[in-house]
Amino acid sequence: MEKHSDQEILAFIRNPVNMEYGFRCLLANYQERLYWHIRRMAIDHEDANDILQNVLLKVYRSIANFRGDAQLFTWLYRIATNETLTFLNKKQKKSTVALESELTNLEEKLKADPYFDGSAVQLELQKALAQLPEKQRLVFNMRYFEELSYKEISEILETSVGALKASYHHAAKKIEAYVKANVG
Amino acid sequence: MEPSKDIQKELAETAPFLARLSESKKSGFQVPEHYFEQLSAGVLEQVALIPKPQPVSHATEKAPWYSTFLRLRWVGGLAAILLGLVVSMYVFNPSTSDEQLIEITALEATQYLNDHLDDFETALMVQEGLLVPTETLELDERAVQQYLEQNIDDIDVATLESLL
Repeated sequence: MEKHSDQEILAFIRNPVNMEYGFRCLLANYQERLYWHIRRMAIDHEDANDILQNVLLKVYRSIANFRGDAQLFTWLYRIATNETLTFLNKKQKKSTVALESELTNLEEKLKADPYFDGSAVQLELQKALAQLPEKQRLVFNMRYFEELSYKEISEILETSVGALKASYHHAAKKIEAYVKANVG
Repeated sequence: MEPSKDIQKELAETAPFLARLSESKKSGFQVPEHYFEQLSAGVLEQVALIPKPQPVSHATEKAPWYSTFLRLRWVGGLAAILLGLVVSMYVFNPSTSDEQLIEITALEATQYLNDHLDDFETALMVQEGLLVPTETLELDERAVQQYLEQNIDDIDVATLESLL
């Protein structure tokens, strides 16, 4: 499928005749990035898949009313982030497991996960990330793995650049300390 | 997106040990084979069941110069209909106020005036010939005083109070 710009995709979607083609283009451009954004927060593939499907259906239902105030990319990321946080909060409420047990569970879960083949360092990094507050984890992932600029993160999370820099700095320090202590 | 070099430099300043672990940049997560192709197909199948959302107008799209007139078109139409109704009332029903008055009987007019007497100004009624003015009795104050002194004994209290 030919790669189209955001403007072209939106123009297709706004024309009822080309709407489905426009949505296909949107999926081609963004579904993978959105998946990894969600997966890094959700960890589990099945959870990430469920969240992503909900996100894409939500996007389909509301894209015709997307006003273009923000970039398409920012809008999609915002929906994906909100949907992921809502999912994780619901899951957290159901869970009665303490943080320490959660980390052990995470390690066992990742080791048994057919869709995780990370090294010892990558496993420790995931454990370190799991100990961060949700917002810091989100900011760290977006900066470290997705390499987004602070401006982009600021638009997605609707948080000031200064606050994001502070979040990232704290997160990186904590992760460094944990990984240093646990990786030979 | 910022160049990854800048992000790496920032990380090296904050967390130098982490910055050296280049393999940690990969999360180690995998997806099932052909996952993304199947995801697209599955999502498109689901959206096919959803009624097509209707796009709404967008503020960022510039409206053509004549759009204001188009928006006002229905107002103009309504005004034209009202004007037509008013004109047709005069053209097809040209009765004047005099002719309308003829239809009112003298009895009805008198009755109306009696019922609404307080609504009319005296001066106006005199002007229209509906009321005949009478001469006002000009009383000399000294004469009144003299009359009262002469007849004070013949006037009872009630009559006096009514005069005052």
